[in-house]
Amino acid sequence: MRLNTGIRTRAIAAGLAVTTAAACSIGSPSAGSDSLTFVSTGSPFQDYQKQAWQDPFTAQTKLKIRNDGPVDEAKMRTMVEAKKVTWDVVDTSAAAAEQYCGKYVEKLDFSVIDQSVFPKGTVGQCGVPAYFYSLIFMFDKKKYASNQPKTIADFFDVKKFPGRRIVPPEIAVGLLEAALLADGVPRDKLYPLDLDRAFRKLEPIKKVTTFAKTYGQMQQMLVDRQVDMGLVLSARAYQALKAGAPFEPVWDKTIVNWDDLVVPKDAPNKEQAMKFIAFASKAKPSADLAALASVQPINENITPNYNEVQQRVNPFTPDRRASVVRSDSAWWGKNFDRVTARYTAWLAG
Amino acid sequence: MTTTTTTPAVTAVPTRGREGPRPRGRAALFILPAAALLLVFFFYPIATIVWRSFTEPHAGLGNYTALLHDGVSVKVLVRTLVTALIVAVSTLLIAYPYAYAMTKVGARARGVLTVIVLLPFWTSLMARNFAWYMLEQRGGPIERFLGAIGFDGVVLLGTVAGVALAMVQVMLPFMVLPLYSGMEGIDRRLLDAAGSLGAPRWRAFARVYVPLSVPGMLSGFSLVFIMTLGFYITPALLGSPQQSLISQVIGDRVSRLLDFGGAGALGSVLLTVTLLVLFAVSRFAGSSRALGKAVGND
Repeated sequence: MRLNTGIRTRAIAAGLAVTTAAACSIGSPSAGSDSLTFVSTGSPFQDYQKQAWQDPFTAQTKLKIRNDGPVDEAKMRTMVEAKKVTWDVVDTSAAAAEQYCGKYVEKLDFSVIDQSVFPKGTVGQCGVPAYFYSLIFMFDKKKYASNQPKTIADFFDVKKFPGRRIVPPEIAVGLLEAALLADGVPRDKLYPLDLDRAFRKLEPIKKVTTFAKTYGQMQQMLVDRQVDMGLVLSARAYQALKAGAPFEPVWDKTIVNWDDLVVPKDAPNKEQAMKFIAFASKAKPSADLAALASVQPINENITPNYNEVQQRVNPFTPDRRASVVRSDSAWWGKNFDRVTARYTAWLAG
Repeated sequence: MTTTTTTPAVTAVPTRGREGPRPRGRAALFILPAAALLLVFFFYPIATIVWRSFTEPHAGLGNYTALLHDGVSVKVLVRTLVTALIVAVSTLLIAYPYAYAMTKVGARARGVLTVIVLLPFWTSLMARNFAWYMLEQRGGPIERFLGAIGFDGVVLLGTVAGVALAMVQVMLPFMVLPLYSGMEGIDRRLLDAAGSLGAPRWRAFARVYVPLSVPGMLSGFSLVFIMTLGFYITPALLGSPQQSLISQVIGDRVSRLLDFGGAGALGSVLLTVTLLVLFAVSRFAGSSRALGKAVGND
């Protein structure tokens, strides 16, 4: 008797703990009409967004802003379906903004938001860029002191450049693009991505590559020199360099992505949310965030006040500008699920 | 344990005689809060998950047939089952002598041994997982040790072996405690009896003691096996996408693909497997416990 009840109670207790935890994280107080709920990736990035966007916005409009996080599209979907939306402005990937447009996120009001400030091809019906970030090919300059990688193709060449690699936890930030560019696909013929060709190109590096689970892990592995080269997001590259990681960027091909600001469907303070997005796309807030968080501002005419280390990972300087290849968020919005499923299967196989 | 549970029942008899059937109804009342909690926070969500696995995005068995063809799910499920089996068996092999020692030593030493088992219980799971992370990473103590004895370049971090190693440590208390409570009830005079009938010590142990400890083994084994099947934190921290276990795949489905139906189908399969294991164990335990009771208590 003891035996059976023991198992059951413990199993049930464990299950209960999980469900209660989930239930607690779903229920959060809804915001009043004189405040907004802003959702992003959490500290420290969200603190920078507070400093650069929210504080001046509150000073100007007297609207208070409540911060919540982390961004979780599954949670957003659950809120929309349960008709209990507590989020007003969400920082999410441009692909997600495309994919869930009209379904889980609202169409934006372009009479409030000025879409002319954003680069061509980056504005969607449901999202505008919050900031840009780039996927930079970096190598350990101590390990490759005598034989330095020069092009993106070298990242995929394990014979000429043996060593451990690391790639980001998300597939949509440029790994497949990097593989195709390395394989000789011209940048104007990149989309639609040739998936068969991309996965073929990835095959040789699979064994020596750490497919990072989080960006934090990626940054840590660079600092601890657990890897010899990597495709690294600019903000993480900056943090790693600042912590003393001996890595050097290669300015051959840099894939540039961006996050969008979106408004969840049936958000409680839609109107204010549009005003906030309009404010965040102004030159000064955008430049301030770029300098604080080591990202790129929403257009190239804005010049953030980067420090020396940030300047080392900035792909938009005149001599590096030619390496920039912009991601196609519309393609990703349509193909994200299919590509992710294939990538997961490829990884686990 | 058996005696403590029977004692209240014995003393309860006169009380019940005096007050009639009322306490029975009151007992049901005591269960009510827990039952309500379970209903709302456990059975309702599970029912929703199962329902969505059959209805989203289309009604039918689509999510389940997709699991067979997506090239990942079956592979990962098998990998998870094998890992859980390895963890449960390894834990049993380590815990058995330990629990046996606990029954042989004096009260003070037993106290110390119990504290040692419970120590990991009182330490944060995250702290333990990060400790394993440090031990298993490239250039960490484990790689250096293996290198020193002739196995170069063995990095456990990101492998199923690394995850299993950490899980064995995490699961050890769940094996030791049921084993110990089972062994504690074994009448050691039976071993003397076997000896007096001419059995050598090892045979008396293998033929008398081990069979009597089967209920404890089954209890610990099923507990560890089932918990390992659905374990999330350790594989998420120490594993890798290349060698992911089922909990990670379910998590990914929900958070990356918002595929509640597909994730629900995977979860339902895992739940079914778990229930099957529980059922098999309770059948098996039923017969061996009857044996244990007949021999051990009378």
